[in-house]
Amino acid sequence: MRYIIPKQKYAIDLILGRVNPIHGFRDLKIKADFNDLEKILDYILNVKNAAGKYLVQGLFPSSYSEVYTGNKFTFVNTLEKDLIWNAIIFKNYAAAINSFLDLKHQYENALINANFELANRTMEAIENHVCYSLWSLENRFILEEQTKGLEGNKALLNETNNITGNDAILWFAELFSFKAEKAVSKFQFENRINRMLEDIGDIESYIANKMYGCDFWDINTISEILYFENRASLIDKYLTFIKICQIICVSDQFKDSKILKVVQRCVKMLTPFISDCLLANLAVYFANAEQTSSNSFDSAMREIGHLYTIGQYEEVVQLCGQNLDHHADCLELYEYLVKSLLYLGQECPDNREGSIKNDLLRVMYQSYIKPQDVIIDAYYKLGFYARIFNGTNFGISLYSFMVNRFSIDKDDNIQKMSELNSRHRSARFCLLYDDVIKKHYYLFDYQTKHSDFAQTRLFIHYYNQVAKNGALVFLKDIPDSRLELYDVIAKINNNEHLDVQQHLKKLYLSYNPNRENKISAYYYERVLILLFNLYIETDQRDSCLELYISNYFENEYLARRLNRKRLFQIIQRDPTDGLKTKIGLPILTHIYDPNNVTELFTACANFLDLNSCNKPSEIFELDRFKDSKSKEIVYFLRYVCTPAVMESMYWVFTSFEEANNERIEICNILRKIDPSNDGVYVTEISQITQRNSLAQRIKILDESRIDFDLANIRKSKKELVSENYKRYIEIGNFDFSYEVLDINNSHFFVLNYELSKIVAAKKNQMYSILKDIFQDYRDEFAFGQHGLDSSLSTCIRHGKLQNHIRKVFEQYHLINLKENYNSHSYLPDENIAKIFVEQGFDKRFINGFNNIISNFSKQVDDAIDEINTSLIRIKTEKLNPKGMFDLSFNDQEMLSIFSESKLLNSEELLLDYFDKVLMIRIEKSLHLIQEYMTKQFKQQLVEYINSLESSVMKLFEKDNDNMFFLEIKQQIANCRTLIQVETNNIAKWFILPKKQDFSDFTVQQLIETSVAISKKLYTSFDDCNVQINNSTTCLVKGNTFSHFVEVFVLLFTNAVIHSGFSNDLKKLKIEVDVHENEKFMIFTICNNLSDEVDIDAVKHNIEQVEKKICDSENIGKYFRYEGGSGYVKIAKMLNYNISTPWQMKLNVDQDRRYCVNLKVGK
Amino acid sequence: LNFIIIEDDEYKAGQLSSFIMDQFGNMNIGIQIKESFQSGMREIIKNQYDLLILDMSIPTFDGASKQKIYAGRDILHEIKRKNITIPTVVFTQYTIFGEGEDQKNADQLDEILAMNYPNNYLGIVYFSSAFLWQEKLGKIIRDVISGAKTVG
Repeated sequence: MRYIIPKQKYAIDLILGRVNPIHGFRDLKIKADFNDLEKILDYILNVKNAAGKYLVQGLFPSSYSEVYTGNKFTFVNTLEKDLIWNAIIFKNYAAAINSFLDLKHQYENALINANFELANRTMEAIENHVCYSLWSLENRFILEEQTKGLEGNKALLNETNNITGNDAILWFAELFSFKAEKAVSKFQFENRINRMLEDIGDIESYIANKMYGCDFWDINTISEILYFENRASLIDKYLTFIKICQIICVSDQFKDSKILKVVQRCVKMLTPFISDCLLANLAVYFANAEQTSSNSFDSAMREIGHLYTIGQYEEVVQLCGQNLDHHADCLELYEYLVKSLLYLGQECPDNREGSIKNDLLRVMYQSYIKPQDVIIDAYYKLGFYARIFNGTNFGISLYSFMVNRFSIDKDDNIQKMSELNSRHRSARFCLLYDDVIKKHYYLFDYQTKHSDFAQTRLFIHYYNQVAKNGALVFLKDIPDSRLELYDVIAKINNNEHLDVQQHLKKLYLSYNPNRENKISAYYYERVLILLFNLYIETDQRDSCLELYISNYFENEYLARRLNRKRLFQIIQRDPTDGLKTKIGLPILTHIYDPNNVTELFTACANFLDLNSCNKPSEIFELDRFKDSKSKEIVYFLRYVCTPAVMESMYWVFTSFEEANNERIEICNILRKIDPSNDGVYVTEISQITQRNSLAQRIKILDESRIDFDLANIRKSKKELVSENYKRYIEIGNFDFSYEVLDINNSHFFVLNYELSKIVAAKKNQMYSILKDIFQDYRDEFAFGQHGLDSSLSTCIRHGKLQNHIRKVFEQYHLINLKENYNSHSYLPDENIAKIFVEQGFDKRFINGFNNIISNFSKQVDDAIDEINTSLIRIKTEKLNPKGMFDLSFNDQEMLSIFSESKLLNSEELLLDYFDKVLMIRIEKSLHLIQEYMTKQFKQQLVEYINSLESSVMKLFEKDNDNMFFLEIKQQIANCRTLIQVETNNIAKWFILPKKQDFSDFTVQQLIETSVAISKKLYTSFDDCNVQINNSTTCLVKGNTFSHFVEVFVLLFTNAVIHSGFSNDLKKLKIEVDVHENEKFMIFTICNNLSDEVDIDAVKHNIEQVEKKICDSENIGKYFRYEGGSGYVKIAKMLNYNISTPWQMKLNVDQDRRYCVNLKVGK
Repeated sequence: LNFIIIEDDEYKAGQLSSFIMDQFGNMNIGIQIKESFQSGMREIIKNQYDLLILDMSIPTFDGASKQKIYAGRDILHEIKRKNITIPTVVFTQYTIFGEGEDQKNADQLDEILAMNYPNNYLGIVYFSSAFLWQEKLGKIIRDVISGAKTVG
């Protein structure tokens, strides 16, 4: 063959090997016109010089290790040239492509018919005689999965993993193996692939194409896909090329474009060389005229189409069955077969041979009649087959079938793709043309070339109707029911709504959605959709809503194809009172968007208002709903009237509890009217009750932070008080009256009639004894084992107040941690530092930000410290001068007490009086602390936050549109609001202990409450993994509840602080195991320790702690040390507050777990 | 004139009422402050108000610490449902609301509120430690007082 080579320098240089091929081909692609490009590539591919070798590298891999190893070409983004370039290559290797297409058809037919042995042999033939490819690799996985299941799939993956030196193929193998897995659901597949696609950069579109099949890509995406396909084999390139040509033909964005013309040129170039039905379809499309030649399969398909249209269904079933044996990759055969079975009222044959073909027939059959019990499975099965075949024409037709059977909106482009991917052309091919004249032209041409088939006449008749063309068409052999529907659709397309509405309603009522009458069910769905859309078009909202709701409850899968979004939108535009009174509207609102609580509330509120109901449970008082158990009522109560919706019903519910109680009432109603879901409602009631009970318990605990035990205080001082009281009484027996003269004088008392130093001295002695009794009692009240300071220390000062305040800032990373307990330096937040570095801020800036946060952290910590060390303290004459619990009594106050006491003639009365005096003081102090928290402390924190905000704004003043700055500004604003709420909540802790009616509790309730409290204390406690294994059934006495909770909160706190995971609680695992024997409950609480924790130091600490907690005499002394070990506090609570025998052992086990073993008497 | 502020941040509410009293104290203005969706709605239903200053993120009930991101919008929605006319200014310290798909910036929110509640919604005012908010809010209040700003 002689080649005429263009004489341009770039061409000569490339051909003679004077330039690096990568640059040479780049120049060629940019500079050559289409004709020159064809000449030069034809030459290079045939003489096989260096450039030729470069070009064909990787085109025909002879093993998987050679797949996707083609040479790289510079990306020049000239799609027209790329398309021509590829077409030239395909023209030069047409023989190989023809061979592949022939074998591919055989392979797919064998695979779908479960002839796996033939499929395997055919695949070997493709690999040996054409080439290895990504297509063959993908199909190897499909074949293995279908033949041997997951085991076969994974065995092949292992085998592929042995390939060395080709990472790309390993990656593709992994993806194809996953894609072929039968057990991987649509959701799992998309979830994993989408996550993977997020991180792979430019190659994303190419991989998405391999995983998801075609999409209506834009020009840039198509260029990218072609660019990455350069490295693939000839057959991979060809399959992608045809797909791209099809997309360009049907996609609106390429209409009348230059690229479309290039595709036409490519098709023209290839048609004489390549025998491919898809290429032929493209050629017919461009020519707008049928080809004259046809093969036996085309003839058979035309015959089947004709017989189906004239209602000869038995013959259709027979012919389809015969043809499917050899053309199982033609989806039209399945459709004709399945619909004919429906017309004949026959069931779909069983899939005894386990073939894809029979499985598909079954799920397609179900897709037409949508039986509720199996339709979801059918949908997912179709999805699976559409997924594994998405690289082929069969897969595209399958996808189009799914859209037609399950989607709301008709998608013309997908329909067109389906026609272009059909293995034969029927009259339906006219759907590819938007222009009715072109449709007519094609149909008449088809009729002329392929005889007078009923299907063609029906289409011609339909488009005559649409075009209002009165031309006569012979139709007598077509059944009336089929013609009737086509006439209706034509009238709808011509906007003859009024004429058609009555007709459609009649048809709608004549069909039956019941599965028993199969074809009726299929027609029912078609007519239902038409009628629904007609109501929408003509704004008949009431009828439309009624139609939608009644069908939704008849078969929700039928209603899924009704466009509820449009219905909802037209109703929302102007909802009439008539619509608002209907229960269907809140139901539609929920079906449309179950998460839009605002709209749900509005629909529900309108419904209740207009039906004069205050709350949902009252709807049964309405006549029309009395004793109703309708599906509408059940749906409304079950899904619409949720606590989230009802908590906005401000006219009837004033708290979360009230809304929850209404929900419980609704659930109880639902149990009666929807007994089949009784379990669901019982579970919900139980969950709400548990939530309420947990909230109640937490509230009780918050209200029990200030606590003291007057009975035990009195008991522990009884002996001493009795003794002193006796002395006091003895001196008092002198019985004379006195009066106070001079409180500043050491001799306070003088007789008012007979001045006597002796008597005065006696009185002074009496005062002194009373003062001792009082102060002694007061000290017990304040600092004794059952006294006030114990609860202040455990429930407020020991980290609680600090954590509640810091947590507000911690969740927004606005506060740093101290380097250690005694340090004044703060550690910078590593996550924030990372963000700064990523955003390119310099070191000085980062330090500046850290300083601001550290200063703020110090201000907050100092403020908390001041409260803990000075203010939340009990002030006496000698202790805690700034303490806000003022139990100090000056002389005048003491005298007043003395004066009152003389009237009391028993020890019990005296102590009752002391209690009263102390309680008045406590009450006053609590009031002052509440005032302090809600005013001074709150204001102080708000000022710190304002100052933090100013400093941050100043730091970012040159960069104030930085996203991080905007975010941090928002977080500061959040904190300012939240800290005010938090200080208000903290202020509520400071109330007198209430006489709580504690009910006995289970160990499960105890642990759950402790976990909930810990979540309130630590921002990330939610992240840590707490496992509870509780086998106890005993109940624990109610009055010990708050103390037991404190014990567990302290244990959890220890795990958070000392595990080494305080910066990342996701890694912390706490296991709580509880069992019981006759006398004891035995708790084992273990947590893992990070590698940074020094085990020897932990063991040493354990020794120290165990010494202290075993030292029962000095427990009280250790306990009073603020900031000391939580274990001493636990020991103290078990000893004095819970008053039970107990034993505690600490150890680090062999798995580096810190374990606390606590035995508590029942 | 009766104004109602629905705001859970006492500091912000304090700044707002001080500003109104300082600037318009001579206009005999009564200010009612409510802190949640529930108490705010009950008050609006019970009494007539000439201006509503509304925080966007507030709790559902008084004293609840969890804020509902778009509770302010829900109030506007409910006011519309009840056919109540009350000129409303959204007073917020946030520039971004919500998360994920539900996230909106203040401009988007402004547009949505203006489109959905044209009878009541007057605009959005950003609160910050700078004093720009006072100028914008002052103008709106003056318009409301003088009746220049007509709604409905």
